[in-house]
Amino acid sequence: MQPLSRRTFLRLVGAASGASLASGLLGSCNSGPTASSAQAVHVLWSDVTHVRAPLLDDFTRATGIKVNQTIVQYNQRLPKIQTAVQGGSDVDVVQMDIVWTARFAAAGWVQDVTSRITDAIKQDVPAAVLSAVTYHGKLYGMPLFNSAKHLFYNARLLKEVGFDHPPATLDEFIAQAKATTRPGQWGSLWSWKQSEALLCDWLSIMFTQPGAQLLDSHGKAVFHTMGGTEALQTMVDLLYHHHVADPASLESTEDDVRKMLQTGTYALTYNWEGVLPEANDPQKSQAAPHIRVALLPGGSGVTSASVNGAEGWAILTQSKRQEAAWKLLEYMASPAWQKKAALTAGDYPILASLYHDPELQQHMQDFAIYGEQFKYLVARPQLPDYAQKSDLIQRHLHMALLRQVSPREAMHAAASEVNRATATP
Amino acid sequence: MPRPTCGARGGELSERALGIVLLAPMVLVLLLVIAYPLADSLWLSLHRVNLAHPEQGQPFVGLGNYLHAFRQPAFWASLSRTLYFTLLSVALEVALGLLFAVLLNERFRGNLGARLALIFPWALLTVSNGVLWAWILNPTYGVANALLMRLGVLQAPKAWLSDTFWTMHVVILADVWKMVPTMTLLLLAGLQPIAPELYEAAAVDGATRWQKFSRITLPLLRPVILVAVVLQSMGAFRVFDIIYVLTGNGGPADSTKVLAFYAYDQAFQYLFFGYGAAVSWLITACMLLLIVIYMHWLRAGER
Repeated sequence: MQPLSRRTFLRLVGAASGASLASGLLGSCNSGPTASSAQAVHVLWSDVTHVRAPLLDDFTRATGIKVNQTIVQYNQRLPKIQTAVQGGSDVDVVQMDIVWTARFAAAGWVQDVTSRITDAIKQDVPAAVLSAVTYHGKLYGMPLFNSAKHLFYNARLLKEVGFDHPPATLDEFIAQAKATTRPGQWGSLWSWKQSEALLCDWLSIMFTQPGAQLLDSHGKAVFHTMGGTEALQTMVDLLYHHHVADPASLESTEDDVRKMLQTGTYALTYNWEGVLPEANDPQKSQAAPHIRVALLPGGSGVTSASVNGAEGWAILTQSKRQEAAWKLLEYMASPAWQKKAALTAGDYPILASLYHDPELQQHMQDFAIYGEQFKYLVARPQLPDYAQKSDLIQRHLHMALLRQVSPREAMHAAASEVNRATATP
Repeated sequence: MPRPTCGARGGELSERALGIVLLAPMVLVLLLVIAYPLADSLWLSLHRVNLAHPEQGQPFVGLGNYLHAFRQPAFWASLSRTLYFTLLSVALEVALGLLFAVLLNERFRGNLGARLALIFPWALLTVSNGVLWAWILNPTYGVANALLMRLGVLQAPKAWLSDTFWTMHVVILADVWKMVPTMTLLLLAGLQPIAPELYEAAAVDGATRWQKFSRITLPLLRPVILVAVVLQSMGAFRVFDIIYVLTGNGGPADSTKVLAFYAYDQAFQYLFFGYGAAVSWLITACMLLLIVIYMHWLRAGER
């Protein structure tokens, strides 16, 4: 065989890179919105199960305005929104996580709608709910649903070892988890993959201590001396001292925890609302009908602590259909949408009045708990560079959970990095 | 029968002009999708572009972004992870690819079937490959744990992706599994033109199997191996998707945060577009360096 000449070599490399480029381009083609007109708004959100599609149809019937959708998973939504804004696509409304409000508002990506939110709306949407879309006192959207983490537990497994009630404190949690851990079964499972979910659980544990604090009044990280280290120590102990947390926790997301609870081999889990319908459906879950919901455990002098996971809809500043977009937001905040979304998708309504609705109370098993859990919500800080700081903390939390460093070292390093992170490149 | 003509000879384009006309759309598309983004990202890399703080403007910072990268321990850590991933995965791919290519170059029953089976991992999308391995390695219902426990290798289920050592190596395994077929096919194509007479002559001279392989096969295959190594290294150096699917965040504890992931975080998670662009250019520079080294080896081999 002839040795390959340089020219042939280059040609081969060129052809191969050309081919890979072409396949990359083809691969990145995405199904976008189907049509756009003056009377159509384009929403980018995460209704991945399409369960809320009938609600958009209702809106079109009520107003004559069509809705085009781009649906992406939660984890892909932020880059997608950024691309939409930078690339000037025709997206009008985006689903905005509570922790993105500051960033979108500070960057001028989303429209200030403070003047549009009437007193009538404010009367039924509590200020605490509106805080999900508030930055520096201004409103940048409309909350889509409320959200909080609850304790979801397997009542049968607890009963087997003599507990007739879920744990009210972390100490009780550990005791019950110990009693329910045996070969082939774990007392607890957590969403401690290196992600935002890990941070949420750390906060939920941290704020069971009175006086716990994340940042001081100047925005400086103080969590390492104000409860963060103790919370992380508790997490490490659950894994390696008490041996009551499945090591798979370190690679699990909330969705993994939700599915694994359905295997009937886990007693106690933290998760966002919406777990019950499937977990207690005998067709889908081996744990049915024993899964129950309760407040997240508290500590001494603290009844409970959970994280606010609300999301909102915001109108992009670049939208050319501001009026139609606002109509959509207005409709979404109406009882018509909010009640139907609660019944069909399990969304927690943003309207205070719906919490007394008998039909909802009857249909949603976790509804009563949520009204209570809402009193003990921890808000994550509204910072434009939240994502970067959260990532830093997540990495250090994970290093301690993998026992690469001690909880104390991890928290001190995290705090100093968070305080330095303001010096951006 | 007379051949149909395309009209008067004067109206026909010269071959050269026709070539230009036919190529023009492609050149235009390439300029739009490659040259413009390249130039734009170079511009970005020389400016401070922080989209979360538009009030800061986009001042020119020269090589500031590049120097900032060199001062970041996280950058160096990502670089070393990328190099580790590239070296180990490409080495395994070459070794296994060579083994399979030599086997498939022999005549045996089921050769065609074996070649077809080999294509499957390659035909799979990288994302599907990642999802597949995530399922295999799932600590609760994954087949890996079930199999290893049945064989008595493991006493209790192992959380593979919760362990910094295993996660990196599992990612490498998933990548190797997918890329070995490419390597095998390239090497097989290189093996087939080797004249059987060479082996026959060697046999007459009393050469052993190993001598035939090391004195005939390997030297003649060297240029193809180099091409394959360049291609695989380029792919491995900018690895992103398999890690994204398997770990989501370059975890656990950043143990799989390779350079491409680092650049992605900086640009798309934190909105430091200038800095992210600079890191991307550094990735490109590293790949060019790799290619230059390989070219050097290739030329040394030609002499």
